[in-house]
Amino acid sequence: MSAELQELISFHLTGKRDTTQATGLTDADLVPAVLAPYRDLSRLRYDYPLILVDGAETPAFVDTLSGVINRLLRAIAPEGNAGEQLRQHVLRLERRMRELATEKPGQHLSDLWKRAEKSLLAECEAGESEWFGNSIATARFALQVDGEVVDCDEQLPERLMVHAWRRFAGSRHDTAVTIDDVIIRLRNVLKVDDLKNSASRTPQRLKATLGKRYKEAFDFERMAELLEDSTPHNRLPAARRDRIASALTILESQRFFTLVRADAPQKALHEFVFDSLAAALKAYRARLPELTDVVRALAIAGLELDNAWSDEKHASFFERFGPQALTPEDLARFPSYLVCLHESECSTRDLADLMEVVTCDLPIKVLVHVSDPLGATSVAEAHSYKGTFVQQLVHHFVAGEAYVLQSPASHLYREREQIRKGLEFAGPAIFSIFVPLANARSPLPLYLVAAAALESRVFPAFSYDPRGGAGLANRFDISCNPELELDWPRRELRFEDEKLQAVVEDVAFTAIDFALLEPAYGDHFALVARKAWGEQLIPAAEYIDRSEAVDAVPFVSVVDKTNALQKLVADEQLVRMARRCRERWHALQELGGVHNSYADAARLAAAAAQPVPQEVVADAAPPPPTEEVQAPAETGESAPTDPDEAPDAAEATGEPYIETPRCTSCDECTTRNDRMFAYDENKQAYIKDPDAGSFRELVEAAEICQVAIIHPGKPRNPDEPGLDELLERAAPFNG
Amino acid sequence: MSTRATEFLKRSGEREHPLEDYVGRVPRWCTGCGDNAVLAAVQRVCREEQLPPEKLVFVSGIGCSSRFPHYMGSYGFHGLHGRALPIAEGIKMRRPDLHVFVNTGDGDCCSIGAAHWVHATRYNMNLTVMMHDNNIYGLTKNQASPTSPQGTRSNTTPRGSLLPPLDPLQATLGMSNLSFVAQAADWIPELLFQIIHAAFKHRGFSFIRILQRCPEFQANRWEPCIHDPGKLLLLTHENGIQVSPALAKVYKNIEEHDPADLVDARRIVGTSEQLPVGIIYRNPDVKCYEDLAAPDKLYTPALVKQGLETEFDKFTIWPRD
Repeated sequence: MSAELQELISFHLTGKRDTTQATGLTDADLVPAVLAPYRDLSRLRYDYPLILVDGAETPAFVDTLSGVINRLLRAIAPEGNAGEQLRQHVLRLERRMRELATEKPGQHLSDLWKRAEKSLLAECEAGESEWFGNSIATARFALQVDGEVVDCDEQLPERLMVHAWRRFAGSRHDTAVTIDDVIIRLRNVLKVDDLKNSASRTPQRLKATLGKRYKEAFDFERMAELLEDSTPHNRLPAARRDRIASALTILESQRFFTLVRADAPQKALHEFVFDSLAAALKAYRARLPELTDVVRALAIAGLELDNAWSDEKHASFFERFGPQALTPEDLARFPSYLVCLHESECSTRDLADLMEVVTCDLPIKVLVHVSDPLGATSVAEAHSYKGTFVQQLVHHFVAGEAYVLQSPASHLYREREQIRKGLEFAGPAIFSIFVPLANARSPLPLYLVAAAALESRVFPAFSYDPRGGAGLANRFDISCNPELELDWPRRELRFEDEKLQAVVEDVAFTAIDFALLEPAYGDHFALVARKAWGEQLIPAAEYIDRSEAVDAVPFVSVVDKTNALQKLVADEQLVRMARRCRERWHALQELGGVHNSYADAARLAAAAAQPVPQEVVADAAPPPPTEEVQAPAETGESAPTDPDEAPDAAEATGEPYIETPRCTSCDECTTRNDRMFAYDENKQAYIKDPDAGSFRELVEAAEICQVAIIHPGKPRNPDEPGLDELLERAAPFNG
Repeated sequence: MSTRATEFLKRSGEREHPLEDYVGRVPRWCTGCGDNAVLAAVQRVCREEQLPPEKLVFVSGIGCSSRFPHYMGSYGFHGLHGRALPIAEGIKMRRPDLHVFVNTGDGDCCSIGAAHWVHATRYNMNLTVMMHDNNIYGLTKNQASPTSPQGTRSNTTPRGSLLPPLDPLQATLGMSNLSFVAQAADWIPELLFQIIHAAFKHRGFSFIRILQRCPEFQANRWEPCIHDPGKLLLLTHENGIQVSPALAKVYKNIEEHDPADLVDARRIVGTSEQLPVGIIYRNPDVKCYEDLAAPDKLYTPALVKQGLETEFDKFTIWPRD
């Protein structure tokens, strides 16, 4: 074994360097090789900057600058060469806007546009500025979107979540409109009741109602006397009036919603965004009685406006109505709370409060800003990588009722639908978002570091939606991660070898590659001299998979600031960290339905089982055809009028009957004898009492019945006069 | 909006409405009049749907049919001749929460009210319109109506009416924005109920032509159809009416017709020798006018006043300071 290899193995196993052959990282510009082409994001069009879209009318709450520009160009630039100049001008503007957004975050798109346009116009040559100005003016006219422009920085998670929260969970516009309507309608009820009061018809009041123009035209004293006589006296009962007035007062004075139309002087609204869970929980508990009062007032108002209030049924219920009667649907109509936390500042108390939020189904949305997914502050315990505490949480609460979303900042735009769902979710929601801390020494933009965390499985993206459906297959989603089937995503690495020949290698991006981006892990890598490159260096992904000790060391490929390929050896602690990271990823895969161990075991068991040969049974006779069972002839009122049909039971006994379902309710028979003929609950005639009239009346009713559904049967009184004639007349109706 | 508490309490407080809740005054129609059958069928539909009587409105024009609102235990509007439809549309526009039914006749709808009929069909507001077609002006004692068969002798056509009748079904099927057309016969109560029920449940302008008996002035008009079931053609479909086995034994002419097929509907109405009974056309996707034109804000007195003042301010001559 060569001395170089021995030294590398020693470093790998101990993390300590003895000789200069394995040198530590002195070059801060070393980046993972697969990320090197993306160092300069200013030349790329990607998901950032984001636009936090203004206005509740637009369906999207967030958009990308590149997406907006693309749609704009599709709308205004003709295809082919005709629109090429316009496209180039607008794309140039986009590049400048991207630069300006990075320099000064928090601008509005319209302002950014103006600044970029102005700066580019200043740079235009003579003659070009007019063309450029026209192109930009055309594009500006077609721009339909405005909003705050945000880049991938440390403030992004909070800005994005507060904006999204205001749109989906903070305003509850529909409830505000409902309360507006209810207030107006309750006021109208009281106003109408007031108008029935004698006090509303005093001469002075009538004079004021008519206005100045007619104040001399009428004798208001006499008018008041006349109106007093014609006044309706059906005023609201005092208890009802008090109930309505009380509900109205509560709704007008509530502090959860901004009223737009009800024109009520409002107190300052409650604040719903907090930076600590304890404060949010305290506020929630303190406001619960007020919230209960509003829900009660709305319920009472609803019943009163529909005139459905009943003292017997409702009075005692509402006397006892308290917070315990509130349902998740009631709470969902009110703004939820938003708490923004930094994971590094979370105390044990915060974790306990979070557990309370989750287990008690409280309408609190928690944003956890993660900046150190590896837990680099406890480097000595790097081998015991546990994943973020939100990841740990989801393992405990996958059967629970909290919405969970984890995503690095680089993928927030792709997860916007999950963000919306989480904010609209009635119960608690936790959003864990990773944005690294700004580091002047970092060779890569924050966006890329965040994306690297996802690629390396250190901070995988997932969402858990308790309302997604039955079972984890419908609730748990890891689809935003690349190459779900693999332990580590694989990317192409193109480089030139010593002979300047192009080489393409398929390399995996592991947690060890990501660790390179964390300054605290710098001492866990050692640069390998070019002369020591050999078969004893094996890719980190391959090394991680090996369980037995080998005479080799793991390496990762990096690129230095001269764009030259280098190799770094990682120590054993990093390998253990990567293995734990892989185990956590496997657990997420299982939850997400990828490589489900139960399904795999069942598949193996099925494959291992011997198939039983099927013998064709050729001598079995086909079953005999079944005979149709004839339904018995229908009886009673549904008997057809076709005289060829078999007589029914009533006909057989000679009892009079009516084919009631065919009765047209024409009153002919009931007018004739309402003791004999009556209507049933469907207002169709039947023979109520055949003895309540004569056979003659039955025959006459049969003759007068336009739809011929009365069947007189046989006479019940053999002594009735004129029976022969009546029987002859009855014959056509008796079938 | 209701909170869950309100919904629960409303349901627990709801009372069942028997047929009697929908019964108004005693009908003054002639005995044997087909209007009685329509009245009974409508009352059964209201009971079936448990419609609160205070949420029902029956609107009529002038004619025997238009006595209908008096005999229902609900709100009603007995309007002018030919004007049932615009009144009903106004009620629906102002109070979209009410269930609005229209009872009109062959004269009220197809003669003086024809213009309203065309545009009401086009507006497709959510109304259930029953045209009681007895082929005569009965209330005014025997004058020919637009649907009276050619040759009908009446007070105004003593030598028989000269013109062929208007076919309300063909006319309606030619109107634009149509969404529901059906024909029923008052002497088949089972189908009458089904068709009125289906018309009520359809969201849009549901037009039913009801072949109605007039025992006083058109005593023999429908006799052939009543006593010869072969003269009727029952249109059945899973999206239309279902014929019970008992009825199927009597009415042998049954044809499967998809109400969504407008071309076939026109064919049946235009060429069939029998009178079709059933749902002839239905299109649930046609938008209702009240949905298209619904205001997005509540027109409170304050808002109206503000609007008026804004407009008046444009013409106000302000005194010079």
